[in-house]
Amino acid sequence: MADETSAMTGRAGSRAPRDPARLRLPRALREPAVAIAYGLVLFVVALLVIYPTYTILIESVRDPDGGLTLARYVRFFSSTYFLHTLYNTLLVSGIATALSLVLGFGFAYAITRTDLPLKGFFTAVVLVPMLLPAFLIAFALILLLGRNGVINRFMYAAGEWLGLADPSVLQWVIFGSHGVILAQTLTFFPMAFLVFSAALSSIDPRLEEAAEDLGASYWYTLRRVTLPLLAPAAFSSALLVFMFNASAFGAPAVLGGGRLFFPQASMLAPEAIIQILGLYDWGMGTTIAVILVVPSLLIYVLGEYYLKKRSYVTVSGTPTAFRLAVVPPAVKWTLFALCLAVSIFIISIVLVVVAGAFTRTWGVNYDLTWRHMATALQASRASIINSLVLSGGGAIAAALFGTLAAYLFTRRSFRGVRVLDFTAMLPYALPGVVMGLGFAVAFGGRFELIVLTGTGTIIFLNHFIRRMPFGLRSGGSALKQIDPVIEEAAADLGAKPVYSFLRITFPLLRATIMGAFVFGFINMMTDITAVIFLVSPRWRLLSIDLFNAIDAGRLGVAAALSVIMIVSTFVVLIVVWRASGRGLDFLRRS
Amino acid sequence: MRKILVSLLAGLALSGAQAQEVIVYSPFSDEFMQALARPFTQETGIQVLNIVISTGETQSRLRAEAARPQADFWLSVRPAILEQAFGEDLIEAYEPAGADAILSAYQYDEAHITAVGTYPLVFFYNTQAVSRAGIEPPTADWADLLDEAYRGHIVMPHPATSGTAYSVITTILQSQIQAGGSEQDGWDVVGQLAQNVAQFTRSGRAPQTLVSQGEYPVGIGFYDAVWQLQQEGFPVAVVVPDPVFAEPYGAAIVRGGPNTPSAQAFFDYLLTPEAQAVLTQFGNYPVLDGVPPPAGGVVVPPEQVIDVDFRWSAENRERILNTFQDVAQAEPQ
Amino acid sequence: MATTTLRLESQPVRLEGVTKLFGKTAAVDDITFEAEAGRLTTLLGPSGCGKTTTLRMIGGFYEPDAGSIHIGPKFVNTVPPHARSTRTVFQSYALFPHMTVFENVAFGLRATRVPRGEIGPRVDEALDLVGLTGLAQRSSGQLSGGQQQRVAFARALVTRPEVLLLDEPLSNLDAKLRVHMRGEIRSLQQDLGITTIYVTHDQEEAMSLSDHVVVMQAGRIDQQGPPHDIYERPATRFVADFIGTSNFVDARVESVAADVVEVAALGSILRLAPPVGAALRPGESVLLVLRPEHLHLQDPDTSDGVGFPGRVASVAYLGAVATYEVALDGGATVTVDNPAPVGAALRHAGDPVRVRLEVDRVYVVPRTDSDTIRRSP
Repeated sequence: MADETSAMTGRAGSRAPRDPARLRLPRALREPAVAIAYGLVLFVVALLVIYPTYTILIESVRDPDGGLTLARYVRFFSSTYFLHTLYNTLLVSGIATALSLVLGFGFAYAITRTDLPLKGFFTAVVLVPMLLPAFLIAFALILLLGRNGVINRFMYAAGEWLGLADPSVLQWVIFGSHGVILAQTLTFFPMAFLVFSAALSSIDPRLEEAAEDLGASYWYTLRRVTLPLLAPAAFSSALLVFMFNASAFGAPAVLGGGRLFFPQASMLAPEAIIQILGLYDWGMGTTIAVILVVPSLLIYVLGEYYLKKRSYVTVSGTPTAFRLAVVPPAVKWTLFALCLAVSIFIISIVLVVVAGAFTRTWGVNYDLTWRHMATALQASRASIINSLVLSGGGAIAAALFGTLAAYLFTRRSFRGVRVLDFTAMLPYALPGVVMGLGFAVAFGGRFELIVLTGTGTIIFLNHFIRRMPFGLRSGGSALKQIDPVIEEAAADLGAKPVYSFLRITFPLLRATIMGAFVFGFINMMTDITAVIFLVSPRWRLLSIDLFNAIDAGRLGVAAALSVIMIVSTFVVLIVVWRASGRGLDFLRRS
Repeated sequence: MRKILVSLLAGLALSGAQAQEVIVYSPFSDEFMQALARPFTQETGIQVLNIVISTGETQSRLRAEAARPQADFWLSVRPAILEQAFGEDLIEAYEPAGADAILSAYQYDEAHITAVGTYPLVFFYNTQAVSRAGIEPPTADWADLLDEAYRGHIVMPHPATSGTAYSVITTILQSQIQAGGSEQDGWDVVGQLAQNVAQFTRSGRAPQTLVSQGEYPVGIGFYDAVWQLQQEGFPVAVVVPDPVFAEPYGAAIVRGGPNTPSAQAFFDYLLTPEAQAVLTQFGNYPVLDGVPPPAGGVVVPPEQVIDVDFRWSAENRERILNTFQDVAQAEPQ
Repeated sequence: MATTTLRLESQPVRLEGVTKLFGKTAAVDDITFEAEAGRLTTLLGPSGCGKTTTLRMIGGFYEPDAGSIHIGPKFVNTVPPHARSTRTVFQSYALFPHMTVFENVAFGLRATRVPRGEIGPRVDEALDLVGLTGLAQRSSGQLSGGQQQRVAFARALVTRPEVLLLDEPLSNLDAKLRVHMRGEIRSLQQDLGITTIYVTHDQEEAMSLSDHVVVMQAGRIDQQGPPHDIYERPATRFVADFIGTSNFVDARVESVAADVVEVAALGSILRLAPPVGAALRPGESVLLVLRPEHLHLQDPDTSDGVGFPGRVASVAYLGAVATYEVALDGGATVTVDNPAPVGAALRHAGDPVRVRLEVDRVYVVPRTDSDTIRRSP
């Protein structure tokens, strides 16, 4: 550039040769810390996701003589009994999903689009079922609507008072398909609610205003504008809720006995557990698990990679003051009645459990007693501590590791990372039965590679890998909100990747990590389907003790254990909340 | 959060440490196990760790864990199942210190079968539910349960997952054979009974609770659980059928378990009057002379007790379960 | 911003044949230039021209697919950002939202393990330098846009970089503050004598700040040189159009000599200086670049110098100047900026006029920019 006046025109004598380093490793991996972190993620995913899934698959096609066979699949699809299990699962899940969508939409619409009274109350109550294990809701339904349940005893008394020939005709007994459907609807509609309310909040209200401005009535606007805009949300929450319904174990186990649509058959998830734990038929159990995986996986792939591209999120450039639709009073008060009824029902579920814990003999003797609580605390002390320690530890590990993986996949990405991301997300889509069974087979001594049976480690690892996707997804979406230039600035100022991650990314993600922790923790405390295969005398869990108590009909102790579970979960959440208060502050500020 | 992490690590570390303990698989409730263990732990310092699992699940687990046993002791097992497990090398023979004091009716020749306690297999019914359903309380006669009036009113466990239910089936088959009929006659009875059964439960103890809560009027199952529910105040009554299955249950030491000496000590303890007395508090009948039966418990006339050849039960288990599946067309729920 | 005693070890930055592909598209296509030590070089161009990509390659955020980047003697193609001696002031400033002003500025020192005792004084010095004394404990969210930018500068400078990279640093400020900050940046840069590469799409900013301007278009460099050269002697139609306002008139090359070309335009033969960076062949179609301020309206009967007759099509009176659209008799329409005369002398639409050219300020550029340039040896 000696001669400034002779303008150069960007010619190079010859192109420089390609940088050979590029051909060796993706750039992201040339940072040793990043490469090590990727190695760790790969190791964890291979060991805890791929290996157990693979062993289940192999187990289901393994011939006793050592060869491979599809005989069990043939048996499944040619047996009336197993097909009925499948039909029961599809019917119950389908109906429960439809009801969940209706309730979820009703709540979401009422809360985001109307000025109903008690909105704050409804918002809080709708999230309560997420804190409760599915089988606990089913159990509470027995206390309410079992033949000896509060409501049915009242109805029976009413029948007698009316002088009916058979006073029990007024009773609505919860056992059977309708009970399973009700329990699963209550368990899963909050999920639909969350999806719908997020979608409703993201629809620019000006679209609805525009429709009304053009002369459309309320119903026309709802039908032609609002609902079509919600279609992707409805579809994706339907898939999600169906996936969880189809792999549910708790409600069918507690309420489904002998009275489902096809009465001699059970449902897939409980059937898989019976095949293994009851009949010692690992081959058939794993076969059912694989059959359960297929729809879950299809749904997951569909939701994750197809629907995402077609969502009609209408983001407006400038945030608009939120406008409440002018909802006709009839609609408004119908919604109010629905929300109130469901909320009262949810609250009575909690109350009835608390009452059951302190009642001498439910349905017979309503004297107050501490006996159940004392028994529960004494008999399950170790389980309570185990559950808190393993769920707490698992949730911390899952949240941190998930966030780290999210950071790697979004910020230190390279070709092929999507496959790793998909695999790491699998434990979210795979039913608990499958992950539990996978661990039991993979680490249970049937393959000599790693034997972890009877240890706390196997439960911890199972907890960890099943909730890691929460951290991965929420971390991923939080990272999308954080301008990568912040991290570039850190690198630019001389911060190495680890330093930058710890000092910049990590603090900025703190609230997200807390969220993933909380969600994971609750989820682990209440899980049974996976850990039922993994508990051992030394490592018993509160949820399994509770399930056993329900299963053995020890209602008082079961209720006491439920109260302990709810209270201890709450205590941990409050402690975490307070501890993280400062961490959440800055988000509110900026 | 740091504390949780620390205690987690401590917990994982502790699991490696060797304390004096015995690990027990048993369908007995936590409450029962703790009452039973308390005197033992006080005396020996050995901790009793248990997990509540049914007989079928225990068998599954012991098989799965055979290469690396996780448990030391298996409590409350039918002789037939003990015979089978011994044949599979899952348990080892052990003669506990107090074995010679066992009543002669409960003595077994096999070294791997030692009776620990017993309770009869009974019919029970919810007094309110029976009248609500408009049916008669069951009688001692098995044939009465086959009446169409009971259709959908009976609950019993499933033989594949419950030793209790397996005993129900073998009792029916054996009573037919011993009365001069064929096994097929027995299966006809089983088939008719299955027609009347509303639900085959997974757990052997679920029918008692379901009946106590009035979900079903009539149930078939072991007396101890009924007795415990009666203590709670549930309106449940008991009929001792004729013939009645009142085989003792035994216990066994898991082959290659991590704490075999502790397990042996626990076995010895179970055959002390002290332990037998704890059993009776939970509706079990003692196998030792001089220990009183449960206070206020039903009387089991010895002449009604059917002698079931447990070896026949053990040898035919797989065949019986498969036949049951065909006959009953039902799965455990 | 206050002056300082802080001197920096400035280094030149040299890019040779650098290419960056995104997929199959070349965002930066075979560019070569040098940013001299201690001077301010501007990368100027419309959005999407590759200027920010180039800056990010210098900062280490992208790796070139071909070519080489040297900072001083050091080949840095594969050196990650944290190991480079460059510091960037980002367009959005990228202040760490969870840190105070002090923590933000201290970040680079702490990250590179500067002894604890040095950090306080150095941060204070840097904050003094940018005129933020006393705001150290503010949270970064409590600052105005201008203050945020000063923090971003302090944060970059406190680590004593060899090269300062500025990515449209003024684009988020309002117009008045922008002009003010422009002056401050220039004086700070000159006081510190730091090699600075400045990316902007604002030609006025580039002209007023730079020692050296690199004009980019579609991933390539169209022209580079000192600001007055770029303005006075645009090498391409694009440069002439992008920098300042230009009239383009079709012309044809008649003959080419060492220091003069003859072109036919508007019915006349003009003898002009040859264009920079491109060789012309006789018979080739070219464009004449006529800056509006280098055209002068005269009465139609005047005959000094080179001029063309036409008629005023429209007039826009802007105060200091009047802008005329004049339809030349030869067919072209040109814009003419003339100092606004006293009201009475303003010409009106329809008036016949003569447009006089300053022949030494008429430039020939190839008709199609890039192709012509790329064909040339």
